[in-house]
Amino acid sequence: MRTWTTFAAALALTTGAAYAQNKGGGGIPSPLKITISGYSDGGDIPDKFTCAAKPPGGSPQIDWSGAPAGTMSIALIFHDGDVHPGKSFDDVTHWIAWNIPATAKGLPAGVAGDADLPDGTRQGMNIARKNGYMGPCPPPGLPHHYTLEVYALDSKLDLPATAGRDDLQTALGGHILASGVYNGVFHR
Amino acid sequence: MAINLKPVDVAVVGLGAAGGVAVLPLARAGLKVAGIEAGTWMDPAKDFKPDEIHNNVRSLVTTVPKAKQEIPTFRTSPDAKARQAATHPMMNAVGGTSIHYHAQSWRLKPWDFKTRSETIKRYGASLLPKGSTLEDWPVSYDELEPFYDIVEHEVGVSGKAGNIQGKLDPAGNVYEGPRQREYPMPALRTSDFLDHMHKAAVSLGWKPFHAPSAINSQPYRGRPACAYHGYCDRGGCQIRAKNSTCFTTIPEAQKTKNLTVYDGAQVTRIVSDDNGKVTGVLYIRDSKEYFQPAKVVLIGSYTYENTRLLLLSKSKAYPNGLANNHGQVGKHYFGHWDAQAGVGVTALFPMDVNTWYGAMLSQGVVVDEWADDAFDHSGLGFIGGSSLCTFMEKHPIAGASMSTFGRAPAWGSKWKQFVHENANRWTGSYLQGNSFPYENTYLDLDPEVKDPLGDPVCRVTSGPKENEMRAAIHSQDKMEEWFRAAGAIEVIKGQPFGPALSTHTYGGTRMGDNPDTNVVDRWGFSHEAPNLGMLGGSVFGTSGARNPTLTMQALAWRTAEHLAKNWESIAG
Amino acid sequence: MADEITRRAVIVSAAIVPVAALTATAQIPASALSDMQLRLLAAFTDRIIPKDDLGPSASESGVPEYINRALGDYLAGEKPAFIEALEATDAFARRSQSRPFIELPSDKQDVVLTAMDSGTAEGFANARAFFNRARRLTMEGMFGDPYYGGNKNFAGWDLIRYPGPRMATSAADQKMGVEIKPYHHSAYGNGQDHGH
Repeated sequence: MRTWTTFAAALALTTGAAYAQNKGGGGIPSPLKITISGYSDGGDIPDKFTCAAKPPGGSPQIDWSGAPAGTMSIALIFHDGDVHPGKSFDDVTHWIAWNIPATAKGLPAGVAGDADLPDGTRQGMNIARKNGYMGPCPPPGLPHHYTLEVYALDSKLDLPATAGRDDLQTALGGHILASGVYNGVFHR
Repeated sequence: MAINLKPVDVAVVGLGAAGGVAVLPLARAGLKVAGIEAGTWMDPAKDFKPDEIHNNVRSLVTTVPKAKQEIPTFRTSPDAKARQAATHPMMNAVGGTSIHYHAQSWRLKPWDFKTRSETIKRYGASLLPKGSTLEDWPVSYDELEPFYDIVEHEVGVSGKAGNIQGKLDPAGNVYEGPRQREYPMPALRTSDFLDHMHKAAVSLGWKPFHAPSAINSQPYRGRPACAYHGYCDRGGCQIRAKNSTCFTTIPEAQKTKNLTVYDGAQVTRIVSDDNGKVTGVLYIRDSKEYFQPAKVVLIGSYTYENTRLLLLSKSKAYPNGLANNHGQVGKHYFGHWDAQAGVGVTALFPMDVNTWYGAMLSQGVVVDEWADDAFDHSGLGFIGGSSLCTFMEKHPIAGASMSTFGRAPAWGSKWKQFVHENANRWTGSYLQGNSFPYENTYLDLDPEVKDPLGDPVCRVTSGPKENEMRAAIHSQDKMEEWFRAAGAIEVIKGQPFGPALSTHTYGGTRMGDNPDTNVVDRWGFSHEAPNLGMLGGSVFGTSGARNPTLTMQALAWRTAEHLAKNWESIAG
Repeated sequence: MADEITRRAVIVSAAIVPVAALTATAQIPASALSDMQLRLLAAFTDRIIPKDDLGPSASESGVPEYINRALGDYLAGEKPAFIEALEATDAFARRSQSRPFIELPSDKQDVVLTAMDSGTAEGFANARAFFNRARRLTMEGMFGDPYYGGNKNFAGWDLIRYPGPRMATSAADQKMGVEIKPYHHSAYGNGQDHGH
């Protein structure tokens, strides 16, 4: 028998609770400043970071700054916003990584495709169900844009190397102190 | 013979901006909800393109032709015959127009909720617009504030606060009502042109600020940040950075398993019993008719359709249309006349402005100096005014179709030379005026024109509004002043041509305590049929000098939450 | 060997991504206009956007093709009235200038069109409305996405210095005082791409 108290209680429990995204000072996550060596923000991604290279290119050098005090780890997502496999809302995941040390100010070019790196970084599954970076590889012609998102978090994440984008996205919730975005476009 | 479906707690008619929000608190509260939408789901990858012909010339961002086949007829006096307008941007889809709108996401001002009493207090009753049926809203800005806050977070709104609990911040809008906390995301990126206009406004002693919008300026809840590609106007967002309800509140509600979406389902009638309670809705889906029984019905099908559905749903208890025994359904209708009826201000600059890309008005600089009651209206002969908005995003056909400002012919080689130089040197502006309800403006059913089902379309009857005309001319002059301070070498002020169909429409099921002059009560429920609620701009009593979407979403959340908390007394 | 496996995985992953089911250009309907009507339309639109130092004419840029296709599908309802007015244009030219429109020198063609634009041309249901409509469709054909048949080689976008649609732009693309490099891509990619 449902009464208003039941509904009110249910409302209070669920409203926004799962998405308390903002931490620290009640403010908005401030932007991280990101640079990628090799292309400008919104600019063309050179072949050497993509499947147009033979063998397919590795990841570019990435630098970031602005991680606030209290950052315990860094995470990243690199994805193709312009393709949605099947009828899902998800787009194509090219690279996810987390537990990048808080002290890191970036990543060198050509990060190896291992699940676990010596500094504690863990890389999850991209759309090819492999750990690590998969370069842009759109169908010929139509330029896609590829978005790198970098997150400064207030904790490390406990996720296995078999975790995918959805798992990472869920784990990020409530832990984001700052984030930054950097776009590139590519076509074949 | 309609097929009877299993009863639900709540049937929500229309899953656009308002209905799409209402389903979330209902579903979270454990109520079983049927979300009934005439359109279907859109696929960002296939349906949304950076293509002006697709989006703007042919208006193809929609899923079924329903809205295009029931465009209202329009007349400017009760004696004239109404004619059907050629187009209207209404569309049908899960997510409704929140799919292709500009995503501007404003709160109304405290003044908007008590315009009548504040005007009498400051200027005397003689300044109330002649012939208006203006009443104070039955709710105040302060009462709505918590719901603005909830929706800003649930939908995802980016902006910079100008007034947090009374503390003013000139980086935001210092004219806004006080809010409990900052926006969930900072305002969208600025640009050189916006900075240029910002500086010009400051040089005039005005207080410009960046527009708030339901577009992610940062990754938000698993959706990416805006990529500023410049096809936001009447375009869907391929990456879901524009927070249409089909990407935000509707999927959230589906996660609870308490919402079932029935898409491709066109509601034709709301059914009521002899006691005056609504019992459910009739809809057509896959060429079959269904009756969905429900303990409560909420209608969020857009202003015109909200009134039309009620008037079409006659019954023994409601011989003049559902909830219309007091004759108020269709009354107090109004639209954003000056923004939609010729009052644009366009400027030509002596340099390239590079406004091709961006997020339309959501990436904009706004001035509120000349809106609402922000300035002294003594001796001016009108109340209200307009917000003045500058923006990014220009499409190539529209860019090339620019006015030549009398400096070149409209075709030929000299025209070619002119647009080569100047297509990247002009911009428009967006003036949104405070609009009010009048005796002479109302909605009813057209006596002749019918939709494909044989039901009469909505008819809009309107008349002159001196107050809003005077306010519009005043606002145009201010916009010209702003453009000239920014270095414009030519400014054209459009000729107001009076009322027309509008995208921002209000009234028809107005909200107020008095059942003799309003259709719904302060919670959005009908005075006559207690288990019928109305969602959307149709409940507004004033428009504010800004877009309606966030306010109708806050009201929709409030209506739904009130329903969940008072279930027994409303559902009976 | 490891490279080969990686490469295959990448190709496989590309195959997982569904290739957009779009043809190089829009589905092309049967021609709405006869050859003569197309020639007339080309001459007409070439007065609205003539060839000159700034670039190719409307007909060189596919504007008649755009209009022809539109009249064949999206604007099919308008086709009879459009053809009637197009024929009336030629009839008016013959009456007022003693020659078919396409045989007139360009300055005389302009006289004919100016009479239509000002509403003084006779023999039309509404000369002014048709002229404006034809001008409007010329604009759509010249400056719309090449996918629809016009704006060949991005001539229209280059004329107005519109860089072209891009899925992502940066703050640098919204700076004043810089010339933004043209990005010659249709929203539908392939076929019209110039690549880089």
